[in-house]
Amino acid sequence: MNEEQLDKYIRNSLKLMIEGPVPIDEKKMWEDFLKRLEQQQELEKRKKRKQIQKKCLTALAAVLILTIAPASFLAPNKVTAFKEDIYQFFFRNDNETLIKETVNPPVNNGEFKDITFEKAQELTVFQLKYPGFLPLGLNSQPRINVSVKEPPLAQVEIIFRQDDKYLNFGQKTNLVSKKSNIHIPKDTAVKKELINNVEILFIQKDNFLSAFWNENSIHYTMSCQNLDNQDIIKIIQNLK
Amino acid sequence: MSSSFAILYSTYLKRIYSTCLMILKNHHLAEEAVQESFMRAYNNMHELKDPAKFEAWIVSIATNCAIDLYKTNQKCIPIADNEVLDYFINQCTPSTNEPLEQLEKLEVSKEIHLAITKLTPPADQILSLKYYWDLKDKEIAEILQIPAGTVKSSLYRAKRTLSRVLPGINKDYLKLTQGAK
Repeated sequence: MNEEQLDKYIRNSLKLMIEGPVPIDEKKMWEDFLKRLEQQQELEKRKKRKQIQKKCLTALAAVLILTIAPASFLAPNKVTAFKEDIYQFFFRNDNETLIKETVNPPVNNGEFKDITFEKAQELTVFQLKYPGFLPLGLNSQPRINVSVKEPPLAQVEIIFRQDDKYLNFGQKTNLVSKKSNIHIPKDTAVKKELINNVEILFIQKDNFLSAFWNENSIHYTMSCQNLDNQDIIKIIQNLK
Repeated sequence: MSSSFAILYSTYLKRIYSTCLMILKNHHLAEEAVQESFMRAYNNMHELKDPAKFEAWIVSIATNCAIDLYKTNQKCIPIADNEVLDYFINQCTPSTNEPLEQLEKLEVSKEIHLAITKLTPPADQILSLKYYWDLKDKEIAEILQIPAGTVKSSLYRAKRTLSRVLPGINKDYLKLTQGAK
């Protein structure tokens, strides 16, 4: 038998096998098909509804986060993580929120004189404070000096001076708590006052006034000359 | 649901069912494959660029559905061999008044039906796609996701198997045709 004949046999057989009567109920199968299709469409609808709900919840959460904490999320924040200082910046692009992470550049020991507030902030691991209020007659352009000794230990001085008026605002890391004595000369007034829930020690002699306090392991000093006491309290109240 | 799809369903239902039954050799699985194939076709109708190619398209979907079901169920569901064999073997020849045609139909004996039914995948799939659905080797290879060389070699082996049962039929056929002359 040749190839052609064999092909013919196979073709005829398959035609009979495939086109012959089948044991299925066409009407019933069509109804079943419609039912399956309906079920599938219903499932897809449910899926879509769930997806929309998820999207709405995500959007709502995003709106809440952006509304509740815009200051902390949208402004650059500095985080100190053990020995490494990490800056985390959260900011918004056109459609997305980006998170960038950088590590502080290493700082060597040294004295840094007449630098900007931003530079001083770079040299220290804690959030520096700056007077939000200054009395009239004090130059608003201060001298800023930083002394770094074995980072993260650092001392920062912000000095305002104009005519006979003088304000020296010092901040230094106070990682190891220690007790020390302050020499108080005669005719010196000493008092403690609570400002912004922090106990502040005031020492006054003639037209000199010094204030000392600790906050979050940072030691603050404020030495003033020829400044009104009320103005000094206002300066401390408005530190930012 | 468009009425045109209902027409397509009705036109191809039986042939698609038989094609799936040849692969799966189980009535329920074949029904399942048919419904799944038409569901896929309905949902992906937009992918069919040339409506004239619907036949080849639905066959490829059905074959793939049947293969998937075959792979999933071949080890856990007993295949109703005898039932399916009987079904295919006893497919009756359509009546015709033409003596020569009657003679030709006679040649298609139960033996060859049995031999085709006993073929295993992918030989049975290739045979039906090639000789019934008239697909080219390249198209079959694409549908079954096998190399074109495998299509050719499977086809060769399947034909060799079938040719073993054919000499007897051929002899009867020759006798009948000679007698008719």
